[in-house]
Amino acid sequence: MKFPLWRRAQRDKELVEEMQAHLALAEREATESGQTPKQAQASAHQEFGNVGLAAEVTRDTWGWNWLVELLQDARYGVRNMRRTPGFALVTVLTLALGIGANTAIFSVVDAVLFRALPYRDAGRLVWATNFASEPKQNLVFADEYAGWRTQNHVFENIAAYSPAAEYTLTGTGSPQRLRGAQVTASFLNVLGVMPQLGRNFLPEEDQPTGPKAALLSDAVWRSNFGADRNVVGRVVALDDTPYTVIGVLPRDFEFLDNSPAEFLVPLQLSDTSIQSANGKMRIMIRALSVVARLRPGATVVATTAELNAINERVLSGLNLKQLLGDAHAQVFLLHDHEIGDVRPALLVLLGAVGFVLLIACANVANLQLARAATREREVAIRGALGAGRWRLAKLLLTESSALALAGGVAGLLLAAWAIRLIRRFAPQKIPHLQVAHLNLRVLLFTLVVSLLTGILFGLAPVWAAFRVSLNNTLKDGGAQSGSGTGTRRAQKVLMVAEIALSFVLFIGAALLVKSFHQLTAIQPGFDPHGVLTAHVALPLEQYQTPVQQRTFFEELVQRLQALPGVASAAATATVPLRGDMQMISMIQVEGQPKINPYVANVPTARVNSVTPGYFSALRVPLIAGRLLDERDGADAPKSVVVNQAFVRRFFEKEDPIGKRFMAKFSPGPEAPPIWTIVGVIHDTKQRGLADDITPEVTASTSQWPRFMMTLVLRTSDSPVSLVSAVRQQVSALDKNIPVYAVQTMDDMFSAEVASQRFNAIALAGFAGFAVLLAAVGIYGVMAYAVSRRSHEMGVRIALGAGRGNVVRMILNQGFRLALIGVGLGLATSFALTRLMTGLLFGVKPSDPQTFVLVTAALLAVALAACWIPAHRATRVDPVIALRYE
Amino acid sequence: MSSKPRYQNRTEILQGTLDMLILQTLQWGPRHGYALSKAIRSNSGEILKVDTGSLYPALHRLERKGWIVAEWKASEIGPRLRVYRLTKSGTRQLLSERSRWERLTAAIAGILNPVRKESES
Repeated sequence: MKFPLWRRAQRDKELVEEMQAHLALAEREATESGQTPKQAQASAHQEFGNVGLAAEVTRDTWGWNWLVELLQDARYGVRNMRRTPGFALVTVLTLALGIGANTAIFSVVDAVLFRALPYRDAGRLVWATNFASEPKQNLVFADEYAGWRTQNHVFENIAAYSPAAEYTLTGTGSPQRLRGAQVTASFLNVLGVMPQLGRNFLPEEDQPTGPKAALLSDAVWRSNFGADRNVVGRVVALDDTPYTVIGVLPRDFEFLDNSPAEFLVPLQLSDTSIQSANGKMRIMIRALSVVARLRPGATVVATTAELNAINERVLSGLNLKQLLGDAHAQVFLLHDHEIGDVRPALLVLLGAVGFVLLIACANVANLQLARAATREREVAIRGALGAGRWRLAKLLLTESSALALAGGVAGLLLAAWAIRLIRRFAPQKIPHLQVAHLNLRVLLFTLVVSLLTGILFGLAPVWAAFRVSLNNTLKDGGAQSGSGTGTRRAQKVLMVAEIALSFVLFIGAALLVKSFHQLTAIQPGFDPHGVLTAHVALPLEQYQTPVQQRTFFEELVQRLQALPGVASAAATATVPLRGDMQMISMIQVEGQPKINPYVANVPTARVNSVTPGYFSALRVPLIAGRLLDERDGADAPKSVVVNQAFVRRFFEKEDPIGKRFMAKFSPGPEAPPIWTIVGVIHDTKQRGLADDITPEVTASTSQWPRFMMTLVLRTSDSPVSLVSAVRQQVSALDKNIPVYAVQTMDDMFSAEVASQRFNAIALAGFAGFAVLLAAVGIYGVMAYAVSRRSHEMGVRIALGAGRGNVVRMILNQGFRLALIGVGLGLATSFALTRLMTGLLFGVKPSDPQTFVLVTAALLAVALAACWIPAHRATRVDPVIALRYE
Repeated sequence: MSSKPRYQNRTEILQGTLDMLILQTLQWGPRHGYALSKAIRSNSGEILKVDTGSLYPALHRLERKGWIVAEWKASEIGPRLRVYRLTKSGTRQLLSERSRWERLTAAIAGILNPVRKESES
């Protein structure tokens, strides 16, 4: 029977007792045969042999031996660490940083990339769209969706939704802006989500004339309705339309597109959005997104083919080919769609922390090698006493694993803190980041990484121990025995590896820092500093006519202009950097060939409407002509300013001022009005810093009123101090109008470059740590080499070698190794940086400037790390060095 | 590290036969370790000497395999005695080891004293 481990102590006692009894019996018999007690005891012991050894080999038969040995080794390891606390501390700290960084990044990767989406059987969910490349857009017509829904053989269920947008909630205290999404009645069924309270949408509710129903998110239910269970059946007003609350979504519900939705309402969709009569076509375009659940066994490829086939059938007869350009169906796994483009960045970060850990390993292995030299005697004595190689390897590996586990525990603490930091400072666009935490999977990862680390750096001393020659070491009798050239070679290899690895990290970080710099160096075409923005949307019920809308905003801007601290105030339909809501119009310039609207690639421009103070509020430079002003009132000739891209697109060699074009800004049956260009303004980055600039037309609000506008205020002191004053002015005009999305332009700017900054900072941090470790490693190896050669240095100096000679000799040696490391690093970097192409902006992955700079910097660091030991070598006193011979 | 012979059974007893000898001796009744070693020695005409460093590991090994069981008996000499007794499966094991042993000795004897066949001469 295998002996249970916990009874081992008792079993040990019993074994001793058994052997004592044996001895006692032998002794008694010897006495009986006439020996004196002393003789009897001696002969009994002689006959028995080595009691300890007999007990030892007996214990070997009990099983669990490996564990007992392990515990022994671990105890020994801990004792050893306590004997050299400095060494242990440095090792554990180094490993803690390496393992902690890995744990933190892995927990993010786990939450973002590996975690299943919170929907039932989420692996079968797909996101489908029609993608056109020119202009780039995803567009699914209601007709196509209806075709997909009724004609497919691949979906278990399919739903459409329109991305979350903002609504004003009234009737529950002060008006509030909430984000809501329209979904078809099948939406929750597709995802496999049930409301926690109330019911799901009914099929009749997503019909064009169906009843208006709303499902609330758990958060809104708690904050706006006090978690009242009687909320079901209550009527609330969303954008002044009454909706009946039918239920509450589960607490862990997540809407799609990584965008929160605070409520869901039915997407009341008619099956035909394209009407064709008498050769005239009318298309109602709605931005539809489609999510569906695949039947078991259906593949993405088969689904794509089927959707394309259905598109053909639906659109046949409608001559839309030219309008749609190369649009074709695309199907993605929902998980891939949700993650979007953050995968490469996260994988690069994960790879980078992996490198950091490898460098930490190399460093610790170096430390261990240095220590192994001082432990040669211990190893030799153990060998002489009969410890087998494997047993010795186990001892050393247990010691290193114990160190690594200690590092792992410290690393976990570090990671817990780092995760909080990441959640706070990482860019918003990383989906599911907020669920990152130290879960079981992450803990397991840390455990495995720690153990692997322990084995990896533990192999170095094992290797060194295997080369210890018992004879020589023991014969040397305690004097500094020359540790084998093997150990020194191992140290050099590790040093080269460290330099190479940190070089790669350094390059990656430098490239990211440079692209961040490039991105922030982009001139946005306006001055964002000290500008406050806030959205105001007028309820269309009360502000139906353009005159009402215009009057409201003109009066509001006047009031804001009068506020102390406001340099200039204006309202604009779209704000630069956030131009996602921009409208696009076809442009027919007077005197240029007539455009056929039913082909792809029709000449278009983005259109904007501003109050006259806009250009001075944002300091947009005027290039030619004049800006919009009071002359461009409601009844004046219709005037616009255009940007430089517009001039490049439409008037290559002509003076644009005074030119006229036809453009239709608002839907409606009336003929498009004619606009006259009165000025040219500088290009501004409307859709984000990295985006290309497209032609733009800006009209005056007096001539083209909008009901939803963004206020922009240039302030003389801190923009944030004006927030409450702005709210007061709006509610003084109409207390039912909410002010929302209040933001300074500086913040918008930061958000714009957030992911670049995050990547750059994270990788720069890792690289900095890596280079520091490498420097310490180089220093350690060189210092060790110098100390071993102090005798040789003494002889050289005694024979007349100058300080310069000695320094040069040591530096030479270190520099050669550094060169090899940098060479290897260069080769690796050329191969690896290509994987980062997607993360870079305005920098090629093999940017020569970066490579040269990093090479020089790293060589300088290596030289500096060699300098101290080299300098120390010159101070060897030849007398002392020779006396120790 | 030099290669140093690990601890080995330093007895004249053939490797692998000790288990059989122990089982065989226990067939005549339960015994403690000391009595076992004495019995093996005297039954072999003082030729086989069982080293304690082999005896106790063997006893504990056989116990783990379930061929013998041990119990503690009080004794007049002070420490309790651990007395081993053969089990049913131990008896079976003994039989199989004996037959193996007999085949082996017969085979070895055949080699040492070959029966000359007519055809070969």
